[in-house]
Amino acid sequence: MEMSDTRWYVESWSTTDGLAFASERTDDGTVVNVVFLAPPYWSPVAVANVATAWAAHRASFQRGFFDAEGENEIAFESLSEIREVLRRAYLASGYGTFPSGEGGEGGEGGEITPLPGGDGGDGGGGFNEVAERLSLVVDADSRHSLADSLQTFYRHEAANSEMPPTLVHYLSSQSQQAARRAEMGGKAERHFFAALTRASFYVFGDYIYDPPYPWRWWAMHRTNPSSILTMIFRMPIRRHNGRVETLGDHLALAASSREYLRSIRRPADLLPLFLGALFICAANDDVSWHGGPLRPDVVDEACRWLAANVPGVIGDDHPASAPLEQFITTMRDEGPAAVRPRADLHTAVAT
Amino acid sequence: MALSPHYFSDSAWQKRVEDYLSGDGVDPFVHANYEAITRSLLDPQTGLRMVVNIPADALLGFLRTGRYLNAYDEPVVGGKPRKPSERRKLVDEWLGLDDPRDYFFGAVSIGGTGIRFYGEYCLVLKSVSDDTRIFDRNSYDLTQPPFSDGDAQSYVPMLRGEWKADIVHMLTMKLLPELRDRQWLITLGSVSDAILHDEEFVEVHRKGRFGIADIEEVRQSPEDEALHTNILTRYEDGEAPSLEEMLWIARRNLVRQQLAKAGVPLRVVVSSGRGNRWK
Repeated sequence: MEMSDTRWYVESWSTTDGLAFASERTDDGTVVNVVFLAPPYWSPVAVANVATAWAAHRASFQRGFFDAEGENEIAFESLSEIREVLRRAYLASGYGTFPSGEGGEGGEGGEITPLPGGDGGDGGGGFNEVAERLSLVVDADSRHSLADSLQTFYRHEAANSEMPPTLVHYLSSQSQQAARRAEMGGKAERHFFAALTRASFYVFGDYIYDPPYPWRWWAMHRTNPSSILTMIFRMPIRRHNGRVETLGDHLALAASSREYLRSIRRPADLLPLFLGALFICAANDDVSWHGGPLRPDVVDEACRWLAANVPGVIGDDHPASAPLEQFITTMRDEGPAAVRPRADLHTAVAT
Repeated sequence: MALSPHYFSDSAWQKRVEDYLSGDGVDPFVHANYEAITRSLLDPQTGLRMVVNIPADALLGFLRTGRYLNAYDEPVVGGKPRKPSERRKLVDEWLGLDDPRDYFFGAVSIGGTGIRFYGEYCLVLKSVSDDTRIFDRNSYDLTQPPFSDGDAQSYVPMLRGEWKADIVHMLTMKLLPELRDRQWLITLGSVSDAILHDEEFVEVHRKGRFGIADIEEVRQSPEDEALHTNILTRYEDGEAPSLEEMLWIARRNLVRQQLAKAGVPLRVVVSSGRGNRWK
């Protein structure tokens, strides 16, 4: 039970791994409760001895969570706020988990050109409403509203957009069997997002047997969920600061950073998110991939999935918000290594 | 209230055990179990090891760089604490580490998965040098009652030791509560649980960094393996995983691949290390 005159603090935190010890303290600093939290659910586990939390500083845990000036520890009103901070930092650290093409920048498929932009409408179809709601989720109601807006927008795009050949070419060019895939992708769909989803399935067909019969890939999609969850972090989709970003990277950014969500200013910026969500939620779509558009319930589920994964609980004015956004900005601008311990920072004691 | 004079003694750990065993009314089963424990702990194939728990992302970093990093004080989120922890400086000073930057902390284990709190993967080191320092508990306990009620530093010489000379006797002293009134022979599973259980462990202060070549194997718990399977099963049944579940699974897949590439065995064992059906 949380006491009304107490606050929660981070005692030890393995940031990129999402592990943490949190303590509940009274105003005079007395620790009245200690819990351990870990991904993927961060369910609190009671810890009897706070010394267990302190000993974590000897491992890969940072000590506490301080404001930018390093003057004060950041206090949380509830354990739920701490869980959200841990979740967001953990998901953000998924950025760059699998460097595209295993070789890091560029990948083995050759140079990746920027994703064409400007397609997919002029901001109509409810896009502005989506953009407005994306970065303002704080509770269940705002998540529902966002999911509704995403569904409305997707249906508008699906009904009004043609598949731009340049996108198929872009996606196809990433594979060694570009021509064949582009041709088959061209037959696949006429709807903008749905077609792109299909095409992207194809692009990552290094897992497809040769010849790449689509139903074999589809079967694998359905029967090997572990591969799907890993592959999402390998699918190149955009380039940022010279670094190839994957679908998983963009999903990680959308789930952790309100700044990223605020940067979505045109429909094409939503492509990586829709692609990722559709890829995940279409695993149980029983329509063969060339058999027509995605089932409406799959689209609806993808929209709900996106709405469920964007940041919530902690508002922009919370003291934890700015350091978290800085963490993500540093990682995206300087690379994943910038937010991980380095070999020259190995002091066993503070000196 | 005075602490137990049998345990908190200036005598060597071996002497403390001998004094206890030669005392009045010690059950014959205690002697028999003591011999069985000694034999088990010293077995070169299955005996004591230093273990270090590490979470997935840190393990991937270790495999990528080949360098295990111990503590660091540079936070990756938020500002830098203005001052180092006084508590930490104090404990390290009490422990008398000559150059603390060269020490790497771990725990003693005999087959289990280590201290899950510090990471879901348990690195098992092949060996440690005979003079490796050990401490009979988490050294931060010194800052807690009952030690903090008095002169905590004065207890340090009573609670520390060296690997070769003291480990068996130190562990025996910790096991004695388990042995008293036990009218049957102890099993290795009980010994393993008593050596390292939940938050209770024997601390190892290894001097010198270790690398991938020093790792005998990596262990993980069946609970994590079961959760992994549970997420995938729910996905097969139509429940799309959350992004955090996906990242958790993806990292585990990557760890498995990278360990295989590095030639480091990965085993699933129950906490006491008795799960020989898992591999």
